[in-house]
Amino acid sequence: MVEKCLQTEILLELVFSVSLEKNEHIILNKSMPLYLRKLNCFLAGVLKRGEDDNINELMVMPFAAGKCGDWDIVKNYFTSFSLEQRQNCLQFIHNNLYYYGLYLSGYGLFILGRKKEFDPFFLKELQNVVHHLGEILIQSNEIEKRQAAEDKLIESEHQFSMLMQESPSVIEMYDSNGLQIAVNKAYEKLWQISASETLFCFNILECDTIKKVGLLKYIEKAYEGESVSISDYQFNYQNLQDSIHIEKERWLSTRIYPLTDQHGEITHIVVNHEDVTHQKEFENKILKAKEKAEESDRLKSAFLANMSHEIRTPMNGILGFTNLLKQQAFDEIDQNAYVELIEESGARMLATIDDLIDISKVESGQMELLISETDINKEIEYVYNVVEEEADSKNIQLHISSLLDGNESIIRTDREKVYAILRHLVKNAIKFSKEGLVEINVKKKGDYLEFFVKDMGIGVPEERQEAIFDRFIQADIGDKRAFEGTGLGLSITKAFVNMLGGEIWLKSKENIGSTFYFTLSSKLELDKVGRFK
Amino acid sequence: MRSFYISEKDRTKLDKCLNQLNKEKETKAILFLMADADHYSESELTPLLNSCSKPIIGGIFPELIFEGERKEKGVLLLPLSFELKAQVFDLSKDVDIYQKQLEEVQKDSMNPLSSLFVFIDSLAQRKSQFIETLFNFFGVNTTYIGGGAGSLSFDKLACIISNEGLHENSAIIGWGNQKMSLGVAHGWHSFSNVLKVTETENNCVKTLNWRPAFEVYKETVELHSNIKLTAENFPEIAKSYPLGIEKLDAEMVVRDPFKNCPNGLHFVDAIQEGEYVKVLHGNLESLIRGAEIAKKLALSKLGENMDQNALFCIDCISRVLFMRESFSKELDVISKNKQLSGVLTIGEIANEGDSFLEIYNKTIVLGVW
Repeated sequence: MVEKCLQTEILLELVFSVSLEKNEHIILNKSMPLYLRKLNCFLAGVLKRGEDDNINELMVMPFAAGKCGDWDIVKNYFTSFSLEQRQNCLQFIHNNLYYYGLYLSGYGLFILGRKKEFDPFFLKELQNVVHHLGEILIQSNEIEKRQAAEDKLIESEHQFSMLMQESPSVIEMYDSNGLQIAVNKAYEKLWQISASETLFCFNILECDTIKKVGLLKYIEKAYEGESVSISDYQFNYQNLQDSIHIEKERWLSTRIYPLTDQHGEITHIVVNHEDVTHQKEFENKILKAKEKAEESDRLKSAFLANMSHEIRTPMNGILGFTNLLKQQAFDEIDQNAYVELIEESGARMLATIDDLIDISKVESGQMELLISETDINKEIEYVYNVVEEEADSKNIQLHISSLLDGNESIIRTDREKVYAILRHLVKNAIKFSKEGLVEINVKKKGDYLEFFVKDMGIGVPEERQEAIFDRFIQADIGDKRAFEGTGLGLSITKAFVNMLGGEIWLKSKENIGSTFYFTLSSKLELDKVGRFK
Repeated sequence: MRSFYISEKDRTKLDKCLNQLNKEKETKAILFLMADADHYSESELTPLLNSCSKPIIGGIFPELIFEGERKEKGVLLLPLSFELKAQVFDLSKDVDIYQKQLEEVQKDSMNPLSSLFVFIDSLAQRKSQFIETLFNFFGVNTTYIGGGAGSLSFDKLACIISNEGLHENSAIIGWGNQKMSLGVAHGWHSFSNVLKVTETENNCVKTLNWRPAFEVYKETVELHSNIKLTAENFPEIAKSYPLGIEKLDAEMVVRDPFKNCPNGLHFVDAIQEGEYVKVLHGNLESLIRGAEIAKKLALSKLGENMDQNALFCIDCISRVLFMRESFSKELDVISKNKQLSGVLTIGEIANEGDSFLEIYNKTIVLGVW
């Protein structure tokens, strides 16, 4: 009576100990030590049924028992039985020890090892208890599987939501009644509106703006099951309703498509906007760059043609007069004139080559500054002296209208480059003038010296004034090209002025004359790499 | 099985003895057993323990046994001729950690012909969970011997000894690749009906058969002893009326009631709710007979390579409290023709694979290796 009472109590405890648990591993970790202790067993193991109906070791207790060679023998014995045979209580005696294979419902087999044999009646009752444990394990397994599937679904939903939210394209979703039910971050960015202001209140079928911009017909098509693409159209902010604010015109590319349920019924539509404004701007830039490149190509061809002329002309002169000199059938006056012409042609070629070298140095960044104390007045006078004869020869009056006072005239700058700038501008003024006055002027303005060289020459048409400092431009003045020169002079001059910390600009009227202004820093400072600060 | 007893509190002598054992080739590990009375302090002992290169495991116990006699003071050193894989567990930590710690160190301690020494702080928080974890790891693959350390005053004490020093709220184990022969018995017999433990709180049984535990216990004891049980005479009477936990196909596990309080009956070790118990009784003769059985059992399984002349004894201090002067008779019986040394513990640990590992009370455990 007492013994039966204890046995019943043990069985009840085994049943109730795990009845509230839902996790498979918690159930096993809790129940197995209890079976060991309450049933005086030296081993408890679980062989779990796999998808192929075979049973494999899931857990064994104690740890040492699982490492023992006997366990493999016991395991092999019980796994050899068929699914049907396993439903009977199996018993195996090995090394005078008793092993029981109790059917864990469909979950697998519960192995118990004992030194003493179980009472047969007790064993029958125990089988029911283990069967119940198996039922709980199957349930927990199902719950865990369902939980895992739900977790996976939540994770997957989260990933899709992230994908939608982080998409650079605007995604708007509307239900079958046209009510907005989901939007992404790009939506807020494009329309500059918080999603909470439009979600579940904005209706795409009732929006006047949509009607105005002509999108409604496409939306209706989508509700009829058609996928629609509207590529590259301009969306004007003025068309938008008050709640949506957009700063300027945008270029959009839109796709509208339906979503269906399992039965093919349209439940939602998705409006997918691609903001292609930047793309459009980029396209425009590329177009402009292409035009510029074509312009450059044209200028380059003109330059090469001009350069060919600039080299060929003096070269013809040199070779022609050299040939004449060989013939010796001329007087001394002619001989001197020929030699002078050869000399002039040589000088002209040298000037062309100098210009080429200078522009290539400027463009490759190899042009260096040599800073020293420079007397600006002296440089102007020097230029004056150099070009005076040339001016006289064309009946052009050369005049220095203003020089600097005393010490103001001495500044630290690159003397050679100041000379080159002045010489070029004055020579240019003479070159493009038929008569009249060429005026040279310099004044101090704050930390700068401002120069101008004024002529009464042919002037520069207004549409060409901006481009006059570009390379090769002289070569591109079409019919008006009547002057020798590479067309590089002004771009070299501009580069030198900029290197010396100044600016150069032009005021000109066609057939009245031109004034070239430029400034120079009177306090030139260089950074470590020799650039003007 | 050799044993060295240092009776006085003499650090130099202890140091010398420990040093000697440390140098000996045949000594592979040392059991360090110290009596509670006048014991060495942590600062006195730690340097000596640290200096020993051989594994040391042990504890502070209420009393020691040397050459068949009780020793209230001193240190007993038992050199072992086999190596011990020693491990200390902090029982204030979570239970899950014990299993991991065991797997880290003892994963190869799988020889069935082995022994496991276990000493545990008798006041440790998770004593029963630790014992359960030990069984869940080693199972019946080894022979367990050991007991509860601490003071009879039940004051908290750093009572577990290792090479690192003294540890409180801890346990120490030492796995040895050496078979041991065990004899376990208690000599208590049931006389009552089965009682169901219906409500417990820690080591306190609040109700038995859904009635106040003391009321039920009092009725049963008074009927048997013809003595009226009161709060005053409870300690005196209760020590001869412990409870026995019923086990399926195994010997009852004795639980020692040591205090009665308004909540119920307090025991040295826990009884789980739902257990079935009986009230036990014993007398001098039955207990001594129990000791004789334990000796007989231990000697019946002696191996050839075991020491035929020595016995290691783990005896419960509550048997001493019950038998008083007559306890020497128990020791006489055990030590007859044998060199007997050991400890008097607060709870005994023993298992030869017959049942689940449990802490016993009022039980005698004899071991030979």
